[in-house]
Amino acid sequence: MSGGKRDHGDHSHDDHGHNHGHDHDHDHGHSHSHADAPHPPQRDHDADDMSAYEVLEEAVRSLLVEKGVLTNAEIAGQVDLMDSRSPALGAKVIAKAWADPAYKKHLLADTRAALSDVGIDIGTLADFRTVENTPKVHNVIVCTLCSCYPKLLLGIPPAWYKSLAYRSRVVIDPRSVLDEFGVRLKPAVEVRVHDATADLRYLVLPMRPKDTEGWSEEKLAAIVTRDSMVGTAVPAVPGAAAAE
Amino acid sequence: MSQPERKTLTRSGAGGRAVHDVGGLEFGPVDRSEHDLALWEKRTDAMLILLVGPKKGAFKIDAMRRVIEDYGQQEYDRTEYYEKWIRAIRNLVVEQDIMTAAEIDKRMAEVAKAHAKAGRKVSAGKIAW
Amino acid sequence: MAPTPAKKSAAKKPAAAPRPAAKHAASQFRTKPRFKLGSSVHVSERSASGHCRTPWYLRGKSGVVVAVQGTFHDPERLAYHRPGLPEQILYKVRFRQSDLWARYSGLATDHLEADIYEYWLASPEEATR
Repeated sequence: MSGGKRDHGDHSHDDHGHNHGHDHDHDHGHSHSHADAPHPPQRDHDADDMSAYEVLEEAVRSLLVEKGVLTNAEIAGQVDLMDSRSPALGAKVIAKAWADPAYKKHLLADTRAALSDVGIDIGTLADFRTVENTPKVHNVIVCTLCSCYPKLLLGIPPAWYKSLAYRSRVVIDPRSVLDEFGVRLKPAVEVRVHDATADLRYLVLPMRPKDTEGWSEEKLAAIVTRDSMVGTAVPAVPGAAAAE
Repeated sequence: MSQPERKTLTRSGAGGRAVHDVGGLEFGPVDRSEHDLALWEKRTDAMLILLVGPKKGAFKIDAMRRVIEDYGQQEYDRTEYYEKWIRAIRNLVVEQDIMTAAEIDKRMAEVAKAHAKAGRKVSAGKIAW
Repeated sequence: MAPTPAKKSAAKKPAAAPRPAAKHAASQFRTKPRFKLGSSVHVSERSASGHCRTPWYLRGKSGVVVAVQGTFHDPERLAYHRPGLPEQILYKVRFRQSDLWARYSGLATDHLEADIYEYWLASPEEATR
């Protein structure tokens, strides 16, 4: 360890919440497959300020390419692949499971195969499992040891999922964390926390809200949020009060 | 409220609670603000997935986790997610003889110089390997 | 455990075949799982002196097997560039939250589930020996 002074040394995990007005000139071209407005990047430095870590990334990348380990095309292709995975993709899967009982059964029994059936390849790194919310059980997912997440379906996880606060607290005090996220459960509902400690990634199949009979899969997908597939939200019909 | 262990509890590994093993500790409210990734972060993500993938097999994701867990507690707690990742990738490509630490140092100096020349402010900060 | 002698180059020496997807059917297991659905299990309290995937807060706790997840390469060996053999059977273990935390504030019916490798688990009889 060099013990050298770190750039941005006063920034902790909990302080990236600042909004800043200036534009960021990087990578917004192809990263939004969902309708959200662009969010600030994780650091609040000037747009053209370059951190030591960013310098390191470019150095390692250029050496890997130079040595023939990776190509720029492979790296760009992988960036594009991850940009193509998003909560919208997961929402389609959930909506299909809501609309088609046979597909729901398949998704719960063999998530890899069910995703493959709709053209989603989850790669070789980890298998997926789907856990179903019911009137009696509300599931919530965490990875206390790192940040395991069904990335190849939902895209890169949000900062809060990777934060020390979420990872440490949701296992010991899930109800307070759910409360912070605005999830209101009916009194007797069991909260079941899944700590993704090994080679499996977990997806929550939320309950289909009442008053959605006859909705198209497209209309259903629109109410399935990213957080509802992690268990920190419950899909709601716009205008209706949500409780699970 | 369930009683969490103090977050000041030393997480030093070596048979005790390791630095990354935070379940049940207390770190305050969850910051739910959304962030887009910078391109260098996306590329870091991409490089890792490619390096651990079946085609390249430079190392396993498990080795990546081990190297991230090597951090001291202070550094672990304050370092950003993809900062941890690129540092770990660097340490692993060195560990696996894919490149040397000296090559990376030299290239970093060149990269910093090129960007500074192009008018970009480059941090003089050092990374603890 | 020290890292094994490093490979010369990831590019020159491609890795072994990808890890196959876990098999669900019990007939696919190379070794017979020691525990079955509904088995009571006790998580070892032993310390880990390197990378491991058994969280601190579950060590020494008892739960029930709710799924036999399949056979996986051993992360404690993959982390050090070893082949991850022998492969390990992975279980999903369900714990009562009130068994994990001194003053759990939720319902008595609240649970936590985690995936634990077989070599971290013992039967209640073994645990009391």
